[in-house]
Amino acid sequence: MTSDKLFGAQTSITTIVYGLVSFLLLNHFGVVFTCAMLLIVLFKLAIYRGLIKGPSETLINLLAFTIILVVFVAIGFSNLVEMFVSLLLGACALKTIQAKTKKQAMSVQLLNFFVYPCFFIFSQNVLSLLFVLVLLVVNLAQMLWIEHGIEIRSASKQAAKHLLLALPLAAIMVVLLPKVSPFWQLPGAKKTQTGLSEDIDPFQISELSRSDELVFRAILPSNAQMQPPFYWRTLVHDKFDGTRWRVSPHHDVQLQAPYRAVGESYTVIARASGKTWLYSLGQAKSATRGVNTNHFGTLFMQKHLSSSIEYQVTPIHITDSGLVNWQYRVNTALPEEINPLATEMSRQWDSRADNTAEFIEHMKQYFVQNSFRYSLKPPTISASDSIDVFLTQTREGFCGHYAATAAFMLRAAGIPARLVSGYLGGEYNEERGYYSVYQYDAHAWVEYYVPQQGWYRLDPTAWVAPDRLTGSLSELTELEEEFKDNLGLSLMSYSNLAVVNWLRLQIEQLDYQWTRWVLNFDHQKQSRLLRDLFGQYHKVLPELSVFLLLITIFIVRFWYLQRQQIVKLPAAVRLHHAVCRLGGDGLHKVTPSQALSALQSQYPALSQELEEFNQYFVKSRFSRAPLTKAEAARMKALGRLIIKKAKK
Amino acid sequence: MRSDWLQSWLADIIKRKHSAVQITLSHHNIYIVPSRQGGFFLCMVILNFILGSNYQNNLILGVAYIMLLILVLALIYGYLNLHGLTIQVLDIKNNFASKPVEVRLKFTAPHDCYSLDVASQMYDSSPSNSNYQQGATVSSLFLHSEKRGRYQLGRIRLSSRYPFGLVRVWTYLNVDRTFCIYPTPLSCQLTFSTQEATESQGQYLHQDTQSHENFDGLERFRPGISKNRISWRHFAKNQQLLVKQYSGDSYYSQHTFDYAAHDGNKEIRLSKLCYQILEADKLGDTFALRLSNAVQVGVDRGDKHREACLEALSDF
Repeated sequence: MTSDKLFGAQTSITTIVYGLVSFLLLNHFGVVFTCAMLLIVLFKLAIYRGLIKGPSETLINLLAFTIILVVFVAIGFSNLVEMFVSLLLGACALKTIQAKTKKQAMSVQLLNFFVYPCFFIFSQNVLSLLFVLVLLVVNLAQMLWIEHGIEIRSASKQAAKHLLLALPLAAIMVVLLPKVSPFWQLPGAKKTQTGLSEDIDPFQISELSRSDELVFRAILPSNAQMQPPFYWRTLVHDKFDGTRWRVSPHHDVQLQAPYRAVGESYTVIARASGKTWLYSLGQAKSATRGVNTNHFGTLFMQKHLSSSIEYQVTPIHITDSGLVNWQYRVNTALPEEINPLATEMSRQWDSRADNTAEFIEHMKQYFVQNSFRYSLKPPTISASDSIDVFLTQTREGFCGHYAATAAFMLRAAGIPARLVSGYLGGEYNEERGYYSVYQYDAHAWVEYYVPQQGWYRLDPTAWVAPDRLTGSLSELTELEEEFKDNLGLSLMSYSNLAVVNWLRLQIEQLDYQWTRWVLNFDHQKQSRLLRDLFGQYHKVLPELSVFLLLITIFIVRFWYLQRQQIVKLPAAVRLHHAVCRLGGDGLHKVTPSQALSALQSQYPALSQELEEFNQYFVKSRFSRAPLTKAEAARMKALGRLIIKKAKK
Repeated sequence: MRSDWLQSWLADIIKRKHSAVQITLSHHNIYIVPSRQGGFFLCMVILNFILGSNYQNNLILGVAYIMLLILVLALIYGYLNLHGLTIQVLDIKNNFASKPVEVRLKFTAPHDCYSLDVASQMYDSSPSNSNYQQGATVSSLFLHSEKRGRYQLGRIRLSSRYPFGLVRVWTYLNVDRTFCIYPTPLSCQLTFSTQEATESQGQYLHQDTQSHENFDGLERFRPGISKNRISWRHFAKNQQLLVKQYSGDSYYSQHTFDYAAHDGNKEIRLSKLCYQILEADKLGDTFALRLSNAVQVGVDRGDKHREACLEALSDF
C-alpha cells in the first residue's frame, strides 16, 4: 500500500467513526446535523474510492461554512454543549478529508483523544464506556499504523495491550486521587424525552405513550413510615384554563415558610432528565448542594439536570399559616361557563355535604356506581365541555382524566384544589433493596386544601383501579396486554418469560451499581471511602499510595520486560545447565560434551541416558534443522530422568 | 557563550560514550523524551481533565488518567523497543561526487524493533525508516556529499518514535572511519605518456581499439581482476565466474596518467584523470598515476589498484 493510500484508508476509518458517533447521538444533534455528517462520510468514502477527485481548498472552506450554518440553525445557541461538540465533530470530519500527509493524519488521530471522550457528556452507561474504549483502541492502532506502518492485526493487539494495562491503574487513580472541584460552570447537555410535561390535557390523548426508561432509583429506610403507596411528587399544576392544567409559575421559588423535619432521610439517584425538577415523597428538603425546595414542598434544581445526581431527602412538614387570599383565589379559579353539567353536579353534592370529606365521598360514589373504567387507550374528547362528556358518556380514562375531573369538581364547589403530577410506586429490587421508578410509572393526582389543616392528597384513580396504588404499573395484571402494547419492543414487554425477566433485572442491577459507584462517585463518597481505607492518614496516604503503586508497577513491568529479553537461553541450553549442576562447579569451564562425559564417569549407571542426551543436545545446537516436537519432548524427559536418578 | 560550552561538553560526552564500530543499546546510551506529538497528547490529557472535573464526570476523568498512563507506558515501551539492539558498521562504499555514499549497517535485534530511523548528523542522508524483525538485518544508509575529498564518517543518529509517535528515543553511533568521494569523471582522450611505458615494460603498442578480436579463451575469476572482463553469458548459463582472456599481452596496454598532462583547473584535471582511470580499468589495462612528485601510485591493475588510485585522487 502506498503511503497516500494508507493515509486515505486511515482517515476514512476515522470519518466513519465520526459518522457513527453522530448517528448514536442523533437524539442530541437532531436529524439535520446527523444527515450532514453522514453526507460528509459518503463524500470522504467516494474520494477514497477514487470516484471523485479530492476537493479544493475553496470547497473545503465552503463545506466548513455550511457545517457551521447547519449547526447554528439546527442546533442553535440554546444548546451550547451540543453545538460545541457538533462543531468539533464537523471540523474533525472536514480535517480528515483534507489530511494528506502523515503529520496531518496524525494530528487528526491525536485530536480524537479529545473528541471521543466527549461522548461521555451525553451518555454514561456501561455500553458507552465500552464503546469509547473500543474507539480509543482503534485510534491507538491507527496511530501505530500511520506512524510506524505496523499492519492492523499486530497494531490493534499492541494498542489493546497498552489500554488494558492502563485501565485498572486509571481506575485506581480515579478512586484515590483527590477530586478537584469544578473550575468553572459549564453548560450541560440537554435531553429530550418522554415523561412528565408541564401542561396536562388528558382529554386530547388517545393513547398514553409510555416508555420503560428509568427515571430514578430510591433507597428507602425500612420503617413503618415508609410504606406504599409511594406518591413521588414532582410538579404542581394550579392554573386551569379550561383545557390544560399548567404548572405553577412559583415552581422555582425557594421556600420561605418555616418547616420541621418529620422523618428519616432517604437517598434518591435521579437520571439525567434535562429538566430542573426532582422527585420526593410528600414535602421534602435536601441537604445536597444545588437541590432546593419550593413552597409546594417539592424539590428543584437551579440548572438543568444533565448528568445523573444522587441526593439526600429529608421529609418535612411546612408549618405555614394557611392559604393567603391570593393563593385561595388561584386554587379555586375556574373559567366561566364550561362543563355546566359537572358544575351543577358538584353544587348539588356540596349542598348535601357538611364538610370536604363528605363531598369527596359523594364524588367517589358517583364514580364507583357508574362503573368508570381505567384504560390506557381512552377515546379522545374534543368538545369544550370535555369533563361533561367524560362524566356522562365515555367514562373511560387514565389517571389524568380522573385527576383533572376531580380537581375541576372540587374547585367548582369552592374547595381549593390543584393537580400534582409525579410517579406512583416503583419496582423493588430485593437483592439490593432499592426501588426503580420508570417513565411508565408516571401518575397524576389531586391535592385539596382543608382550612386550619392543610393540603391533603386525593387519588381519584384509586376508586376505579385500586390495584394501581400498590406496586408498579408493570405489575398490574388486568392491564397487562394494554400496557405491553404501549411499550413497544423492549425487554420489559417480554418480562413474563422467566429468562428475559432475570436478564432484565441483572442488567438493571448492574446499571444501579454503575450509577452509584462509578458515575456518582463524588467528593463526598471518595472522602468516606478514603477514611475507611486509610483511617486518620486519609489526607496524605491516598496520593502517596497512588504514586508508590504506579512506580512499583512500572518498575516491575519494566524489569519483567527487560528480563524477558535478556534471559532467553534456548531450552536445550537451560536443560544442559540443569544437568551439569549435578557435577558441581567444575563443569562450567569445559565444553558441553566434555561436561557430559565427565558426568558419565561420575554416574556410570546413567551413561546410556547421558549419551542419548548428548546426541539430542548436539543435534539441537549444531544441526541446521531444529528438533522436532517429539525429539524436544524426549530430550526434556531425558534431562529430568537423569537429574532424578542422579539425586537418588 | 554558555550554550557553546554546554554544546561542546555534550558533544564530548557523546563522543566518549558512543565511539565504537559496534554498539549495543542499553540504559546508559539511550536517550528518551516525549516528542512534539507527545506534548500535544499531554495537552489533550489536560483538556480532558478539565472537562472531566468540570462536569464531575468520572468517565472523562478516567480517560484522562488512561491517556496519562499511556504516555508513561510509551516512554517505557519506546526504551524497550531499542534496548538490546546491536548496530555495527560493516563497510562504507566510496562513490563519485554528487552520488550517494552507501554505508552498510548490520542490525542485530533480540526482538522486533519498530520504526528505526537512521541518519547521519554530519551529512545529508536519505531518510530510512523501517521496522526490523528479530535477528540480524543489513541495511544501507546513503550519504549525500557534494564535494570531492576524504571525510570522517562522524556521528550517526539512530532514532525511533515508537510507540504512537508520542516519544522520541535516540542514540548515537560515532564511528572513527573515513570515506572518499571521488571526482566526477569527465570524459576526455586517453592520453599516454609513451616514454615511461616503453621504458619500464620494453614494449609499446598503441591500442585504442574497442574490438576484441584476439579472444583467447576463458579462465577462472580471481579477486582483483576487473569485473568488466567477466563473461556474464557463462555466469547466466552455469553460475560460473569466468574471465575473458585475450591473446597476447599486447592487448593490454599500459598507461601512466599524469596530473601535469591535463589542462584546466585542479578539479577538472582530477575529473579527467578519474575518467582515464575508469576507462583503463574497464579495458583491463595496467596503469600508473602520477599526481605530483610526492604522490604517485605504481603500475598495477585490478579493483584494488583502481580504488587506491581513486582514493589518491580524492585525497589530493
